[in-house]
Amino acid sequence: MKQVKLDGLYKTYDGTTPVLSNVNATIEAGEFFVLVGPSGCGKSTLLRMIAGLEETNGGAITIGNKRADQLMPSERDLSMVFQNYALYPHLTVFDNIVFGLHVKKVPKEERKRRGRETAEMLGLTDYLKRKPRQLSGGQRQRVALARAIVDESPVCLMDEPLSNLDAKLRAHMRAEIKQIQRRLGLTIIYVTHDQVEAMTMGDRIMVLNKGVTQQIGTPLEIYNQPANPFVATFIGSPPMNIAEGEIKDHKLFIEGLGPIPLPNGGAIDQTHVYAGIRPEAVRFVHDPVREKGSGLIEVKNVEVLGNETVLMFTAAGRDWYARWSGQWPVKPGDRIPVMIDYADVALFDKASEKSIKHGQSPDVAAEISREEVLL
Amino acid sequence: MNSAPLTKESGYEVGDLPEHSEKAFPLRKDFWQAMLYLLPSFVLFSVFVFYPMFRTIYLSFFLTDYDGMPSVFVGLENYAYIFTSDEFLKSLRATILFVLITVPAGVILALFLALIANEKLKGIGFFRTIFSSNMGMSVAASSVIWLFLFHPSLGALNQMLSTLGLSQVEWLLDPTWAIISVSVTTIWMNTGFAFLIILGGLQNIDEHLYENAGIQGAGYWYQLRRITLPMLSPTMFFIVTVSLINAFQTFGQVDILTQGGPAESTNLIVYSIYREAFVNYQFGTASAQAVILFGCILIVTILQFKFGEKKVHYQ
Repeated sequence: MKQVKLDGLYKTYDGTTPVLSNVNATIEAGEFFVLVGPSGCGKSTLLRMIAGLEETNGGAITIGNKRADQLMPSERDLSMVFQNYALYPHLTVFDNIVFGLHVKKVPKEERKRRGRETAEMLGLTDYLKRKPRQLSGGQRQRVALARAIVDESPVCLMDEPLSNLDAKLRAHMRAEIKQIQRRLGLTIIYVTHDQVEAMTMGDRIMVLNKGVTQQIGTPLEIYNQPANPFVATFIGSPPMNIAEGEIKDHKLFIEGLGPIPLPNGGAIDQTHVYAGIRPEAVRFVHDPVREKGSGLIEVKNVEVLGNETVLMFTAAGRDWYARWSGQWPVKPGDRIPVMIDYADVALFDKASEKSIKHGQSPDVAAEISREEVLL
Repeated sequence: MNSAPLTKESGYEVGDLPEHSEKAFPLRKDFWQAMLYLLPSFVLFSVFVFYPMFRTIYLSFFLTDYDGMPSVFVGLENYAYIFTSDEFLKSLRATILFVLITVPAGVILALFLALIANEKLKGIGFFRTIFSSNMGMSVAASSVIWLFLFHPSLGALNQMLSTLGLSQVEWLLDPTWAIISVSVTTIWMNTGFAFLIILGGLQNIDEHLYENAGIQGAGYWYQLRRITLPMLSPTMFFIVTVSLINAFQTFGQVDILTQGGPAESTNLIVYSIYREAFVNYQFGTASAQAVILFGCILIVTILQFKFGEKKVHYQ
């Protein structure tokens, strides 16, 4: 298994506007690395540059210990899964799987053995003689996966491989890909626009926006300590609530909510900030008079999901969400007292959008050590 | 949105369907409506295809007068006559030779041009236009151009040969060369169309297939053999079928270049039919030839579908 190193990568199509600029990352051997961002952020372009399908206009790519950005795709020793699977419609499932082995002139017997083993791993044994058009979407996706892993390339690139599947199958395949990756110890670089896939599959995540790296970190780092408002709102569902705020008289003022008092010794330099509050940190209060930092909100929409309830309301001119566990008897139009604890608030500098302070981790679970759980 | 209420007349009233389908002739009204839509093409086909076809078959059993009206019923005698006629058998042989030269050569040339024009290069649009441009030229115009090229003393071809110090060729006057000359002209004329269709077929192939093959280490020829040609097979099948039919029906370039000569070496079957009918006024035997041509094309096309289609991978 090999390490992949991206060093100051730069890409432009017209010579002036950068599609990607100064992308740096080291993907460790055996790591599941997710590139996530909204459509058009350059994540697929970055993946195709690593594959050698797009030219690199600056910077270096190193795969293993070998400088790779001037190599042909075939010389980079990697495999790739495409969004539309790119199966050969005129070949059977088996021939699709062993296509790469056939190219590399692997002896027939070994080809057969490896093809069958891989097919078995992915539950395709019964379909080996079929053509791709006779398979369901999920089965095609498995063939594409099989074709990528049968090569035993140390690095596997995946370009939104699950986006053509329905929600249920997608959740299933997420777990399956993750298991295969662990079993084979593959280095996977995985592109997605779906933050749920990023959170659940990645060992580490790189968040991209407009061709610029926003943050690299483990899923929990990204969730708990977002580097800027973009990352904060991109990761998490419903997203983190963000509003402009002002710090005056040792209080944080946000339009539409009551002033949130800063704790003693918690003074900060900036006056103009962006305040970010996770939906679960907007809490219901029984006694709005006594509790500090509370205010009344008017509920615009309610989604009861069985185990939790998501309320939508307006604050500072934007849609805000509150997420409470359990089933709440709330209706649109209700006015409800809520409060926000300053400890839960993430603050970002308004000018530079850099993080000033992180909100505290949302759940008690974070405070329980692993040893305690395992007992 | 269609806000007008759906009435009985519209035929699509909600809840009307189950009741409809229980009736004995549920599609009766729809059937006549469909016929009405088909009427224009039905009329056109009848006037220009079906009537002439049946008239031809009918005429092939008669001797006719100069106006092409049937005068004496002779049964199969017209057929018996042409199959013993040297002229017709020679024409048949020339046609088969012509088909065997033009179809494979034309398709392979078009495939080659399409493959090179499908590469992503700067200014490739110019070459695509050039390669397909002869599609816009009439048979008459292109035949006249080739007539000049083939001219024994002034023609560019012979000028080139003499510059190279080679002996000149009697392109249209030598019976062996004449059929080759007509074939070359035909291949040149048909290339544009075949090129365009094959290029379209090539561009329909998913780019990701090549990208994946490239990552897995497949070279150009391997990709051509294992991806391009199989994926292109429906297009190639179409082009071969159309080219075969076209080759059997060649007329214009023969009329302009050689008038069937020399020594009837380029007297292709459609030209032979034309001469029989409109030069010799033998509409009966001409019709019999036309019926045989129809039979030939039909058989070749059926064989094509029966054996050729097995190698086609539809998606």
